[in-house]
Amino acid sequence: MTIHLTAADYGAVLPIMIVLGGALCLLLTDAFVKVHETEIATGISLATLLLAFAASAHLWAVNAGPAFPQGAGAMITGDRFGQFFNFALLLSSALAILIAPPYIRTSHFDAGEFLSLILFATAGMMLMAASLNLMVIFLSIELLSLALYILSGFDRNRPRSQEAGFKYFLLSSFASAFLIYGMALIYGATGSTNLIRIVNVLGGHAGTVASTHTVLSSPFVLIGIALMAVGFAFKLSIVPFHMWTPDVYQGAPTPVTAFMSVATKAAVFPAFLRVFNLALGAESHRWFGILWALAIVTMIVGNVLALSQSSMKRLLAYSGIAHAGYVLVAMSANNRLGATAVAFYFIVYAFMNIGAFALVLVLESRGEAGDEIATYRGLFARSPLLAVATGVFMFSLAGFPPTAGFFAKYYAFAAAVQAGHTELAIIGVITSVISLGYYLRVVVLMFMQPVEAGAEQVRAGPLSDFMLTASVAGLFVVGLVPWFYNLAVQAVQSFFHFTT
Amino acid sequence: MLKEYVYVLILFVLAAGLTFTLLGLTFILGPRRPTAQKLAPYESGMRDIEPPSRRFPIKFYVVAMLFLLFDIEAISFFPWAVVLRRLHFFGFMEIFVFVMVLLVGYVYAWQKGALDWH
Amino acid sequence: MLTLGIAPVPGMANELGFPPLLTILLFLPATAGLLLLLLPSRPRPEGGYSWFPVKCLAQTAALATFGLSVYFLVEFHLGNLGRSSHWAIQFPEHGTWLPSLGISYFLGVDGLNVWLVPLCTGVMAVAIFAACLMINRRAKAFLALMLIAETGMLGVFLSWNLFLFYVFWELMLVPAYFLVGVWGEGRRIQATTKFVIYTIFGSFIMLVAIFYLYATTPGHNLDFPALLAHPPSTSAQTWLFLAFLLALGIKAALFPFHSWAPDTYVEAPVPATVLIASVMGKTATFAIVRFALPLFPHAANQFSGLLSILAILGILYGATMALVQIDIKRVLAYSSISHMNLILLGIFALNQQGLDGSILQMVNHGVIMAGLFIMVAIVYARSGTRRLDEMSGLAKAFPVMGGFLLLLFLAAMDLPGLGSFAGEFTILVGVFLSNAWFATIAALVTILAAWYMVRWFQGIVHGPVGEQAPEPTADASDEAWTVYEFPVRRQRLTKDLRWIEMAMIVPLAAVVIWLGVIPKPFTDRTAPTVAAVAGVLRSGAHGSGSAAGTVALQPKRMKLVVQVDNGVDSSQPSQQMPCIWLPNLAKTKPSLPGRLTKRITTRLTHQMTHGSCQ
Repeated sequence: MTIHLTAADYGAVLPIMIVLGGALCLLLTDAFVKVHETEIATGISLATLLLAFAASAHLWAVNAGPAFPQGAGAMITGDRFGQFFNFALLLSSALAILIAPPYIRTSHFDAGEFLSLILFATAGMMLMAASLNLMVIFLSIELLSLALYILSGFDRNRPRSQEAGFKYFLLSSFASAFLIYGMALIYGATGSTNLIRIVNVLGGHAGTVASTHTVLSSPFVLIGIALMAVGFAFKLSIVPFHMWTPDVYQGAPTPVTAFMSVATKAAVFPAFLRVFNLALGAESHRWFGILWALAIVTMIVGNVLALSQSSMKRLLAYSGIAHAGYVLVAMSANNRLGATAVAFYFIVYAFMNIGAFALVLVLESRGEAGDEIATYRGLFARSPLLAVATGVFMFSLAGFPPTAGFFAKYYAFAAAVQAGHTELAIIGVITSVISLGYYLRVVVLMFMQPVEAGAEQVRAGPLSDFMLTASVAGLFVVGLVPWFYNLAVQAVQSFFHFTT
Repeated sequence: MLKEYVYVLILFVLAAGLTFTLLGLTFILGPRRPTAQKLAPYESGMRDIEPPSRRFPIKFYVVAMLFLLFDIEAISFFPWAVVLRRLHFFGFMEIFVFVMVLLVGYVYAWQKGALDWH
Repeated sequence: MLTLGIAPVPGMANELGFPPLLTILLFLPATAGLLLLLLPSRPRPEGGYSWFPVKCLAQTAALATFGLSVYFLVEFHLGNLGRSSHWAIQFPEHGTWLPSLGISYFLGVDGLNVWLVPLCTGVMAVAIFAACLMINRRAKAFLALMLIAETGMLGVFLSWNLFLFYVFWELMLVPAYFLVGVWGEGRRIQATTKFVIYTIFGSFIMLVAIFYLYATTPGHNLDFPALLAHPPSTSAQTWLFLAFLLALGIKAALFPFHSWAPDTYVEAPVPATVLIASVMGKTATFAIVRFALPLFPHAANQFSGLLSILAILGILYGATMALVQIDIKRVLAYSSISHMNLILLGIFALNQQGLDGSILQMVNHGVIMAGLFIMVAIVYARSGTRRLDEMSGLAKAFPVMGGFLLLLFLAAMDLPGLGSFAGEFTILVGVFLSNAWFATIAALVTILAAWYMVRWFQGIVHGPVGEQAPEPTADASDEAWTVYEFPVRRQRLTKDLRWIEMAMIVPLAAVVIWLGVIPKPFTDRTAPTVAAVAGVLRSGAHGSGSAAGTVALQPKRMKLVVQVDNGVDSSQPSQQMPCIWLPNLAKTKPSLPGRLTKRITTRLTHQMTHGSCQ
């Protein structure tokens, strides 16, 4: 046995290695630096993310070919599909870190520890987006979860934060058990944990001849699909596996909530797509019904329960559940446009969702009850930039053009209609109308209610201002400039090519 | 396919058989002279009944965790050592990176005061 | 200047031309609006801000947009009136955007929008002038939102790609939401929320229909000519048409979906009311003629009866409600609903005359409603009340104002010689040709219109000069935001119409008279396109459901021509309309009321509207 690793192999892991290296640097910083710790740690983590972004972009440019460069036996791949999600993950990580420093200072967090945990989680997520093997998927899901458990309970003096960390840990490990059991059954049925080998055994999209294994191990595959769907659905907070989401989102420190609300999904969905649309593509008749029902229930429950929330973080948690439903619609379409829509969605979602949490964060950093929606009364008079930016995020989350949120939703539902599932699109748009009820409530409070007497002006700080401006600009540019969509199309070409 | 697992089955049977044989022999042949001390749950002298929510010094946990971490990571050297010759330079680099990561963790723990007892 | 895509769509010019005048026209208001936000606002020593530079910039932008839109009106190629089968897209600007999704940037002018674009820019110029006079609280944001909404509405009028149309369709909603919600009166938040939820519900359903068209059209092209060339199957048409009609009907205040309209019109500040009632409502009626009818001709024929009944109920409902209102703004709100339903009735007649009249009436109604709503604000600035029972004797106190009020009142009542008469009359002729019973009922309902308008006018104008209500208090709460402030002081006016107020009313009054006296330039431009739409609809009625159209590129004058095959032998002379404006009565079966009025109709139309026609 000799291991031959080429430059391409090292290249595939380079962005992940950079993020891990950055996280280790942060630990050392935390150990030795005693003054201006928050500033230095923020600088190092942002530089790391930028470097990883450059590496990822380089990988994108190098791997122009449609097939996986690592060949059929690889554990992970450096294909464009993975790189595209790396962009989304690095983006959401960077946005969350940009708004975190004031919060870190107010809460007296250990900046190096806190940010290095975010980077460890990011590395796990990137590994997940790149994985080509069920074992790597499980490994990376544990890596990212471990960091997120600690992060959720990081504010250890606050009981809510403790509760969040513990609840997330217990339920998540339970879900991991489902996932690994499902993987074991799929392995039992197909004889491999490698996704590409599984395709070869089960038959791909093009309907390659399936071996006799499929017929013999049919129930194994079915149960495996169901168990893995449960495991993934938990991580994506899809109804009915969403119960932990509002509590954890509310209890966790706000930068963590902002980060995990986007990044976890942006990491799990590519793996979900690789396992279901690629490896189990031939079995789509079995899993489609499951995803179809989950998508419908998720969209309805998420949007309806969000209506009655008085806490912004809970509201955004339910809104996140609903958005997972929209993405699930795109995914269950099981076509090229659907995969493109999923990829595109997360670039957009990073901007609008983390941006929406920025408001909570800025107010909480000032010691106000930023989580209470009622405190947003007349916010426009107190901070025009914050109010206008949050208004844009709300309209984008609700799916109004010309913001990118509309385009993302458009592609997702168009994929469903193209696949012949108009009913999913209809339920999607009707629940989107319901969602206006809570998104507009925030807008009404901020813009249309008079400010209370004696309320102070709010200043967000330069980094947060930059983040808000960049996110708003991003929401217009990403939607209107076709370059981003075409990027997603190219990403998906590398992904679907293999199955034909 | 299942044929390969027959050896595992044999192993299970052998292990179970050996265990039961040995335990059974001691049960039958061994002498028994029970006293009050011998029948207590803890022979070390700890009291049997205490308030359950007694606080335990956190230092023990830290030491236990550090021990577990470094012990398990030290175990990873064994499989590496077995195949080192075949891995050549790649293997050397891998373990170098591994040790460096361990070292960062060690330095971090040290600087954070995890190794100080007081 | 705009390179929006990667690959050109085959067979379609990927050209924006130079200069891309339509693009400039479209984005001029929004650009000005965003620039406004960058202008610093200078605090005044006595409190508040000085908005003078902001207002100057906004007004200049609005007037420049209007000037540019008139250019297209003048340069519009009249074409050959006799050839009804030509549907020319003039001044086309086409850029690829996302070709794989059928999304392109496609603007153009044809007979349907050639008048509605200047209506939009003109009325918006007046509305922005009104806003400059009336709004002093956060005026910068108000004007910016007005200008952004103008871009949205212009985009709806100019788009030839369904996706682009939808983007602009939603874009105009967001500014309107804030205009009503932030600057409105009393129950503004309820009104604006209702407005948005209603319209967005319909719009999202329409969005699903657009998905469906994308998924099923060969080549996945959402450009209008491509969609026209490949009409959906008759069964699909039914659902698609209903989805479109839900969205467009809600926005146009079609009868059972109208209930957002009165609240929104009343609670909105007057400039926003003008924006929503005069222009935004027309985007919906326009879009029905532009997209819903020609794309789904079979379904349109199938549902025209039902929709006509709804429209008639709407006319009746609006008129009855207007009759019992006390608030003068609310009377106008309900009268607007009534008139919008009349326009819809004309559209659902699905023939040349009905559509022609509807387009004409869209312009008329926009102008008259703008004038009336602004008049309400002017009257309110003097009376301090909007209740009919609390005011009287305006004519004696302010004779000039009374005169203008009379003119607008007569126009709203369809006095012959004023714009709306020609429009409503042609609509009724069109309805008559399609279903004489509907026409008869609709004509009877217009008596109600006279009744409530007379009541409205008499209540304000006649009688002794009333006692003046107390002046608004200085610490005016939210409810007093729309009190007419001139120029910046918050006090009641005691003089007759000022010249600066006349500057708003006189242009509108002039247009009303002009369209009433000389409608020929109007119909010259609309008729060929309307004939093409009517041709598509006729072919849809034959049950084939396919009006196979072809797209041809005319390099000369950069004109795209959509060739419509009517499904009827086009060599027949009867299909060629020698005079578009004259109702082609010979082709219709005379029914009971038809026989009675046939001769009168022919003669009246001939004389009133097209004296030179042979």
